[in-house]
Amino acid sequence: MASSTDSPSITVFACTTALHRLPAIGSNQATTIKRLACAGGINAGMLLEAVEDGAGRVLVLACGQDSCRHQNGATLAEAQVRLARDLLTTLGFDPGTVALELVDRAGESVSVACKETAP
Amino acid sequence: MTREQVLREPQAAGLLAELWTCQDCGKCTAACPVARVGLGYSPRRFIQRTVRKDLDAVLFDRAVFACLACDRCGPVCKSGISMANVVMKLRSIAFERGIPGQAAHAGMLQTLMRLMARSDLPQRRLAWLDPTVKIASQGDVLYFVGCAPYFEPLFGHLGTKPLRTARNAIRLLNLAGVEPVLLADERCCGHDLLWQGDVNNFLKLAERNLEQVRASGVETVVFSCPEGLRTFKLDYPRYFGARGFEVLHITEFLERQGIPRPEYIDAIVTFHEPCRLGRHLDVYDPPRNLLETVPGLELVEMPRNRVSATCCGGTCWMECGAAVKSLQARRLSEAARTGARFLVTACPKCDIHFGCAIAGSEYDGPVISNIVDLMAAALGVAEPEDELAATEKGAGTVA
Ligand code: SF4
Ligand code: SF4
Repeated sequence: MASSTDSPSITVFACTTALHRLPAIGSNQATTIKRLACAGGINAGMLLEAVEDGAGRVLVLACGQDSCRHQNGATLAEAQVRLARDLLTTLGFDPGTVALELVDRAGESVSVACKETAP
Repeated sequence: MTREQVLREPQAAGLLAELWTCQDCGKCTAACPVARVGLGYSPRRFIQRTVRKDLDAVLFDRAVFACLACDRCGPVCKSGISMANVVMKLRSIAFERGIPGQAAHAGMLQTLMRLMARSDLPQRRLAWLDPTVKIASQGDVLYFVGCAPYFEPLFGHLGTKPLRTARNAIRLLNLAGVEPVLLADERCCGHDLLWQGDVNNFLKLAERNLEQVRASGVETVVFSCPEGLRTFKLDYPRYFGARGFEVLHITEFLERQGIPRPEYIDAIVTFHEPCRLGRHLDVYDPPRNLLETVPGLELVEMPRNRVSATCCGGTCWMECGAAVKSLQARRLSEAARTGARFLVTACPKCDIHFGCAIAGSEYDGPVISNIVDLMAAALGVAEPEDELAATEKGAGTVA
């Protein structure tokens, strides 16, 4: 799990199931949790809006590919995170401001590269 | 709308006096493409309601945002009422009151524009330039790129390539003997925020652009986006006074500057008028004159052309829905009936909106091609993967 102490505030868009698997995510005072039925419901606009609202870091928390109850939530979320990172790169922000982490059934999380495609 | 309400709302100044001249004739509704596709929208009824009803009720009327501000109705109104101007004023009041309408794309475009209004923004917006385009750090001519660096990742999946169009625009300027200046920190022109009613952020964007253009010392700013051109030409001076530099659409500039003789293209094309370029700015001939320089190219007009052309359906990334899709489908069918192989546009938003309308459909009508890309192909400077350059050019020889 990436550290949430090195930025003033962090906004987490989390699938309810993934959040259930990783309850510690909400323990940091500077963390705002936004629950989603599935992380696949995220769109890049929501991620940019969180940055606009002052989040130093925006994290999307999804279930792993093999444990998503909606089958392809992680894939959909990854595409939106990549788009947000592309747009942030052009705006001049650090693309790493927005990140995706997948949580497996055991509550272990792993970061997804989501490499931006912008030149 | 009462006199007291008008007095309270500086944005509404003059509005009531203008609307009281409405003769209730319905010509606007007869001309309006949104009214034509149904869904109960009528500019005549809306204007009558605005005159008679309480302002608060009017602001919640869907018509405030359903209007495309295409100004198709403006030229037919004998009272000189412009529904586009009416909704611009009403939207700014609505926005201030927190009634911002229904944003398309989950409001992402508006968020981007607001982020661009920030002062501290180390944008990396010129990464798309390549060695085949020549730009200068100083000069008389500036090319205002517009939001293409943001549109590319957002709408590339629709088959549109706004950055390719931007590169082709510079190549055309190079062929015309100009190496344009580009702004490394250019901001969104603010068109869409202004038309959404967010005047405050529009002003921030306008200020940053004007500051940079003036500091560059150029005499002329060239646009391939008619919305940017309209905003610089009509809206910036309303808020900031005289610009101090000339603004032109790229077709106007190339026509004036002169370009080499294009190669032969054996094709029928039809031209879709962008509302901002045609009705808003009265630029009708330059794109057509440019197309006429291409040997072999035959321009067949759609029945609704020039002042009566219908809109691509875009309205500042707001209220995209059934009416918009329906009028896009009608416009594409109209283009197909001309027998054209290319539907030539002159606006990146028209490219995106038509691209969206045909994405995933069984559309087999004319290929959507921005005039900048088509001219670049005709002049032999298009990019290798440009399908037009690869398949259509050189089908004959220049006599
Ligand atoms: S065309 Fe003009 S006068 Fe006639 S109904 Fe419309 S706004 Fe009123
Ligand atoms: S500006 Fe266009 S969409 Fe709006 S009322 Fe007039 S014709 Fe209809």
